[in-house]
Amino acid sequence: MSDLDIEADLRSWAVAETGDADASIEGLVRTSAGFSRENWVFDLVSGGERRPLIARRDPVGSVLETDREVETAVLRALAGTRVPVAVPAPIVVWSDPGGERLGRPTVVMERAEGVCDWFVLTGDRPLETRVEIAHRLYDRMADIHRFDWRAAGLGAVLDDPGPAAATAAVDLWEDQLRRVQLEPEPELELILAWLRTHAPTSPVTTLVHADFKPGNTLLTGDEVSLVLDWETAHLGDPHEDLGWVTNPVRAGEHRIPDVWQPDDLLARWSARTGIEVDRASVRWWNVLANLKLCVIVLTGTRAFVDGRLDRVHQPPLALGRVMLDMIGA
Amino acid sequence: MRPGIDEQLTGIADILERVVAPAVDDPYASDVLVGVTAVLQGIANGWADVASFLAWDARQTLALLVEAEPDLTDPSVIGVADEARALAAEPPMPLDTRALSEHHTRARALLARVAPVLPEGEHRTRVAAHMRARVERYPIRAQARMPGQR
Repeated sequence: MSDLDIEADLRSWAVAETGDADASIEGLVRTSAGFSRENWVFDLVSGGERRPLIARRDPVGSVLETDREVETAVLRALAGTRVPVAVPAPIVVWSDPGGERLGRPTVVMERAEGVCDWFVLTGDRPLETRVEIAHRLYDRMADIHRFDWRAAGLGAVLDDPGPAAATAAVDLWEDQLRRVQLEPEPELELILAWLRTHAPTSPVTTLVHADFKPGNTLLTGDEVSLVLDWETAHLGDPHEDLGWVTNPVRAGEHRIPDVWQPDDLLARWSARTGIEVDRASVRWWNVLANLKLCVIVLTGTRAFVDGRLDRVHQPPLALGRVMLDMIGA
Repeated sequence: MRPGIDEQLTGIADILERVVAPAVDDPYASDVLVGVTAVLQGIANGWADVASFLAWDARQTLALLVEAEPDLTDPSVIGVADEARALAAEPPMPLDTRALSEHHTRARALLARVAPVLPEGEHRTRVAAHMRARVERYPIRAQARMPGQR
């Protein structure tokens, strides 16, 4: 499907949704950001108003395989959150999980103002400002864990793995590995065995973002105005997000040397959520985070070899070495 | 043979970077081009070492599996040491890269069976040490840049 086809199909979709036969699509551009979804930005012009939107369409090949129906349900549940548990999430405008509108599953959202900066915590702002931004960022993550998913009805669309969230995560990522791997992966087999032997018990089931990072947020000034990329959100152990953001491999994104380290983050998170941090569990989820990164890379490799992805990934060897160090092998 | 393989690959990567990239306005195509160029440069730098890496990695892996025989007591790996011994006895021709790759994959498949059930001890430590060593020796080093990554 060419860009022109997408523009025409988006216009047909807009006409159907708005009931305005004169609705038009302007400034349609595919952006380069994002490895797992095609992002198309455009303005919807209808009824004399211009509305900035973004269509996130499943690609032919991706580094992640997720469900737009689930993502839409999570975003719509979060749309009503207010202080003190405020999770600013994108507003879904239209959703087509079946892929009938643009050929593949697509969610159209409001395009929000703000700046995405993966490395804002080590950027050019004064240290004091960066620390304040770190507090705001990870308070938002804590609020995801404080969110009352039961009251919001998410139990109807998401499975609750209960105390066995860790084992469920290993099952999920091993299953994905089996579907995409092109060759034997002895290092990952060793890690999977260790993860199964040492899986912790989840103290509580919360909503888990599963890819929380500065690069998945928008900043307006120094405020966190939006948390993006909810495609892997699920119910599980909040330690999963803690293990993700304290992963030493991602220190460049999540830490400020000397002043914002994992201990600071975990203490602040615990104070805000009232949940005691299990350090051994965080370390286990650190390992799982790297296994997950490996499987994501291998998913991209499979898609590339099959001719469905325009990027080449080399084997995630360095991550394998990190995991061997983490488990003391 | 001039231009050599590495000269051709490096030259093509250079042309893409100097000539093609500045003329690409589309942000997605531009980002993909940066990744493609980086991979070409990585292959140019490492392709000549691929065959020796495959042969070395397979040889080391099979030797470790044979040495680990006393620890291969789990029912799922009984006989793996004999399979490793047999495979090591039939190394491929060193210039046949397809055969080298197949031989290497078979050796790694044996290790993949053993790795999750090898008990803690000397043999497991040596296997882990080899896993680390092969990271250092892997010949192709081009990583796709993440969006926004510096």
